[in-house]
Amino acid sequence: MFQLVFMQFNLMSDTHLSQGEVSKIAISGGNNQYERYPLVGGGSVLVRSKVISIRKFLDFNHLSFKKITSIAVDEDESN
Amino acid sequence: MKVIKYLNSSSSGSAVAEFLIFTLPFFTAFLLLITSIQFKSMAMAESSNLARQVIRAFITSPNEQLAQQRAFQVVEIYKSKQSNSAQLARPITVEITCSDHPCFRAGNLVTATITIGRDQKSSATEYVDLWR
Repeated sequence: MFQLVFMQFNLMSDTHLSQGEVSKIAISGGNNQYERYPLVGGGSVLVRSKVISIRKFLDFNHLSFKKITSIAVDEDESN
Repeated sequence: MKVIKYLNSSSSGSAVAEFLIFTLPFFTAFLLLITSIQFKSMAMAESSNLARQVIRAFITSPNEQLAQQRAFQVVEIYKSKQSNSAQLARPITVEITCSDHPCFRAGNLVTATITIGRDQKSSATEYVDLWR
């Protein structure tokens, strides 16, 4: 039970941190793992989609994977 | 009297079995509760962020003709990153409403509502740039 809560909490924190990083890149720029898709009329969409192994409190050598997708609109590509 | 005697008589029983019988319903309910809370909070984070990005793409459009296209393009890009099963299980729909028409006018209040699945709905509201 505690393991499940621990895994869920870590997954949520990873999702929010990943989204925060992509949003920060969209605002102030930066080089990190993301894909840039051009938007019609200018600007672009930054997407980071990665599969991560969820951290566990107790690990029995069985990894659990989860896909995290973060998205942010960058209206000014020059920064 | 016989019943009282029967109840007072010692019985060996099994502590493990009794513990499981009494705690299993509680643990099962608790498991379902925390799992549903996690699913709900993840869906809320996903839909509210997507609504923010959609409205951002809409209001930063250079003109009205491209505004809707930009908003839907953001959702399509997001959908393209999902698995087929996720797309079928939780379809994403976008609705854009304006406080006044024409929609794409300086100072106008625009709201994007994202619906994911059957019951997860989030909105984000922004003004069209006054200095446009």
